[in-house]
Order: sequence, then structure tokens, then C-alpha cells
Amino acid sequence: MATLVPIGFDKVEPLDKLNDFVAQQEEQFGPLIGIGNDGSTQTVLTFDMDQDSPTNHAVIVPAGGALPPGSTVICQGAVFIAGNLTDATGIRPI
Amino acid sequence: MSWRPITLRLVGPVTLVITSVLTGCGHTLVFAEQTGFNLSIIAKPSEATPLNVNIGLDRTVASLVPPIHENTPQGGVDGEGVNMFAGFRANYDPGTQPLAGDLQIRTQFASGQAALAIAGSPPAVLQVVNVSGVPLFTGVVVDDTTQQRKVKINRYVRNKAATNDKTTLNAIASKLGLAPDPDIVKERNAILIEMGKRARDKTSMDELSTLLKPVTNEDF
Repeated sequence: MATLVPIGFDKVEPLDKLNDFVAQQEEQFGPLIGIGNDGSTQTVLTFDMDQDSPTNHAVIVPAGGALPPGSTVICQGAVFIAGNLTDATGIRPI
Repeated sequence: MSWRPITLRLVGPVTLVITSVLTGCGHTLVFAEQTGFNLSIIAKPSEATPLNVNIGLDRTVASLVPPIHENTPQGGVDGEGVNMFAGFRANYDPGTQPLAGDLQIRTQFASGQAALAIAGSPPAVLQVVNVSGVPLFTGVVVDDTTQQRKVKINRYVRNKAATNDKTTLNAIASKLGLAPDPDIVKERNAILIEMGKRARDKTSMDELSTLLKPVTNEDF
């Protein structure tokens, strides 16, 4: 069972703010399970409310770069980073 | 006076019927779409409004979902239906000039083995079903103190649900303008989402705490 909650985040925000937002939402709505966008104004992050908040918060990184050793890939999608639509990967560090 | 209707209609229902006949109404899932577009232009030079333009869009998505088996002695259905996930959304951006807007229709569909394959993956199902990409609300990063308060009240509500305290949850839902839900988990989730939506900074968190204090008897 999963209760999915899509939450928007303003497209103009930089990557560090986006990851701060992910951490704050995971504390309330459970683990991040999906990333994407609404096509024009927002990044859309999806959380699963039926799961407990994770100890290690997910991190969104631009796609194509090296991932931290031991991290787990959660999801992939296009998100807005500082206004630019960017292919990205959601990972969960150890 | 001149009157000129223009009608364009696609043949989704006809396709649906023909496909049903061709497949013999067996264990074949049928997914059909129809788009009807109507444009009516009425010109009356003698009246105050000399030109009237009406545009209509009629969009229908339908599916026939057969059972996997029909093998009960009574000829009834035994088992679940064929797997299918689908999502549909129409959005019209009016633009800046009359009749110059953009109409966008999104449809996504997965069936059979594809639906079965993604059924265990909520993100994949979400990608198919949530065509709109529209979030429930737009959030912001809050300061650390406000975040701690948000987490505290979030855990309070989760605890009430975990201890089956429906009375308190109903009272909180009422304060937040939410309809009580007989399903305690659904009600909990609706409350958590509404609180997350409201608490965007210290001031709004103060307001939320004050609003709920008659129920919670706590400061958050």
C-alpha cells in the first residue's frame, strides 16, 4: 500500500534549496519516491505517506554525474534547477 | 444574418464497437478515445454584439476490462480483471488573444503485462496515472524552528491515528475545514497535507497552532 503525495516546488530555486525542501518534506510525508515537473512552473516531488520518514534523506543530483559510493538510486526525472529543466536522479545516501 | 457551424468528430465509439466485435468480446482489453470539437460562428451585423463564437470540446476515454477467467459453474467471473492503469487530462491555456490559446490533451495508458509489471512500483504507476503532473500544493523551505514545529504537530496527528483516536482527528479535521473520513488513515493523510499546505513560515505556523489548540491543548 502506498499513498502518494505530489508536492510542488518553485522552478527558480537552486539545487541546494531543492534538496533542503526534499529533506523537510520527507520528515513530514515519508520517503521521496518520484521526481518530475508540471511542464512550466514547478518541480513536482512525490512522497509516500504510508512509509516512515527515512533516517537518511534523499538527495537530488544532476543526471550523468558520479554517484556517492553505496548510495541507492530512487528515481529519475526532469526537475527545475534555477529555472532550467534538468535531467536528474534521486538517490539515498547510506 | 449568416450562420456557419463547423463540426469535426472523431470516431472513438465506433472504433470501440468494431473492436469489440472483432475480438468476439473475449479476454481482450479494449481502450478507446473520442474527441469531439465543435465550432459555431454567428454573425449578426445589426446587433450590438455582431459576432458570437462558441467552441466546445467533448473528450471521452472508455475501456472494456474483461476478467481473466470465466470458469465458475454458473458461467460467472472467477478472478480479477485484466490489469490496466490509465490517466487523462485536458488543459486549456487561454493565451492573450481570443481563440489563440493552447489546448493540451494528455493520455497515458498501460495494460496487460505492462500494467502487471509496474503494479509493484508506485513511482511507475504514478507516472502513468498522474498525467497532469499537478501537485497537491506548492511548498517552500521554512526556517529550522518552524520545521521542528511542523514535524512535532505532524507526529502528534500520526500518533492520534496510530492510537485510533478518531474523535480528536475528527475535531482537527473540522478545525481545518476538512470533511471527516470514515477511514482513519485517509483522514490522517488529509490533515497532514492540509497542515503542510498551511504552515509556510513562523506566522502561519503560529496561526495553525492557535487554531488547533482548543483540540490539542498544546502549543506547537
